[in-house]
Amino acid sequence: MITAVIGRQFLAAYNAAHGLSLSVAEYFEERFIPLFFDHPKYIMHGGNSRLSNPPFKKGQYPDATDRNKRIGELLKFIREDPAGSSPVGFPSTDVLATTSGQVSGATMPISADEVMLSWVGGALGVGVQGALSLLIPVPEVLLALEQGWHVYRRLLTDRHELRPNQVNTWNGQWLRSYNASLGAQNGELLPADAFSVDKGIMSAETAPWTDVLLSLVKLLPPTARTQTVYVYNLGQTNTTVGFVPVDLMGIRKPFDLYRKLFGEGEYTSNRSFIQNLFGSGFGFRKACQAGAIGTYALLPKGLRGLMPATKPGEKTKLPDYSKNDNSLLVTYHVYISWLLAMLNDETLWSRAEEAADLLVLHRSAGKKLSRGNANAVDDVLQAGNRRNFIAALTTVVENAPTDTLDKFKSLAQRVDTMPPDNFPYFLTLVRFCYALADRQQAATPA
Amino acid sequence: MLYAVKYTGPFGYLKPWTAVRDGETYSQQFLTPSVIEGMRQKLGVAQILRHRLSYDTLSQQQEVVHARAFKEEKRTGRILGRDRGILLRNVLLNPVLHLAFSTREDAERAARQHLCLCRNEDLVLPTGPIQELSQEGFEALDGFELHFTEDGTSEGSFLVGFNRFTGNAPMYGQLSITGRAVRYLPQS
Repeated sequence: MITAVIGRQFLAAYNAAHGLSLSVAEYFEERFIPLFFDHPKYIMHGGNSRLSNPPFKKGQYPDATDRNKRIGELLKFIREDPAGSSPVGFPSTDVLATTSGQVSGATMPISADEVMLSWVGGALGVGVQGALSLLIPVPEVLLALEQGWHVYRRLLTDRHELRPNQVNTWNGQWLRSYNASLGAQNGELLPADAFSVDKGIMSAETAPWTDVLLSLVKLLPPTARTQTVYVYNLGQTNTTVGFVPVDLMGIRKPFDLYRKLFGEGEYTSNRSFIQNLFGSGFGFRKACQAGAIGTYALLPKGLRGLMPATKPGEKTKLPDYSKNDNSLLVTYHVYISWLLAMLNDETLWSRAEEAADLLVLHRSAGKKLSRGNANAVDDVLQAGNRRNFIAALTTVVENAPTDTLDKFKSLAQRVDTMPPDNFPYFLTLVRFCYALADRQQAATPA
Repeated sequence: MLYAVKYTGPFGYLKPWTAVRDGETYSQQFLTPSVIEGMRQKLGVAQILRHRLSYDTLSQQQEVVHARAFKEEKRTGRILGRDRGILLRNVLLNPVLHLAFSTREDAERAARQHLCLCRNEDLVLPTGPIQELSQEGFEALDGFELHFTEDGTSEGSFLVGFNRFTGNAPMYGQLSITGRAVRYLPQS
């Protein structure tokens, strides 16, 4: 199935990169199987195949004789009954299985070659948080993953406490820290959170999907715009999210904006915090429901609470700049970068600043002991849609000095011509600028 | 000039060819060459040139699925019924499908018929008048579209299944998205 398609793409890339012309069987029998399964600790689980079935006793690993027998039986099975040999990601051959109704009447190719390739493709799945894996049909990525297999093999052999069979999870961590210019890295260069230890057993942790996609962006030429990836999970029963296009520019944009607006230095010193915050608004599974992965999927957690309420009568909090807290400031910078990326128009940033200054000025120009102006400004900041915003602005203008009228008018015009989807993002930006300007004004002695 | 017919309906589900052992599955966002050929035969038109599919959001439905074969008691040969399982199916909500035809006659014929997207309970019905559109005009419609390619070698193309109308030949395509292909984005 799809794993075999990826396996075939990998083999073509592998042959091309190494100047070889290995056949499927040659690669599988001479390179893949010895690397993955001819060691006490396997790189991936043998599934329901002869490699893992009959199962091993807990904590025991197969010795050389046992492995030899199992591998031989698998290869024999693949040649004699490919469909029944437990290929990776293939349908059940049992017509009594509850999933058998999902099998198409159109015949799918199931040859020994396809089955061998399915094992290779299965080993190329990149695990991400949210119990999903990605198949990324990009030669550079597939070759990078293959390099990672050898590092993982060494680690499995050297480190007694490391749990076997985690190739997909490993792939995510490997790709996350992979750097094309460094080539094959040492396993020690992986980030500290790549592994966890529990009761003396060390296991690889699943990588955040944002990190994996950022690595993909880096491995592709800068001109690449979209890349379709296949999103799935294999288990007793599978999850098929399917073919999801990734908008590479859209993934890169909020990160680029962050660096541009708030400085490379700030970005570098908070890199992992920033990368973890982007995309934390909802899980990868939910993000895939949008049919494609782009800037929207990078929604940071907690931003919704600072956006104007959509339900009438409901009020939301303004950003709070009063705490002298670096992580809060970085969080706000992440929010602002995401909002600007969604608006896809950097000039709106200065527009939002202008609007905020106007509102702060108006608020402070109000009569002492009267909340008239303050309430009018609050109404503007709480507006849930363009119509309410302009209505609230009208109230403000009624009491505003004449020299600011033009500025209010151009703000109203700008908002009126804005696509309705963009308005909440723009107003949230205004709220950020307002909170900051208000704070600064309060701090300056009159 | 293209003649476009708009179809709308409450649900749609397009099965990815890779969904063969699923406990949870998402609808595909695009039509494949064999789906288009099936629709062409159903409508009785010469050609369907283009398609655009958009939807509100995905909605998760829990469904009962059956095994393909009846179970039998070995000793007596008594039929025990079919085993049942649960499948979570993420279906397209309120799909809007635009199909483009090369002639007005074909479009008129198509605008009088229903289509299935893609299970036979997921009807979509023709809505509104036939639109006369230039290539650019059709290009501006919101939605997902799979541009069919000859093989998997061209940039960004991938295997989208096997064509039951052409002896199960592999089908390839490139996926493009325009405008608001999904009308309601997932909320946190």
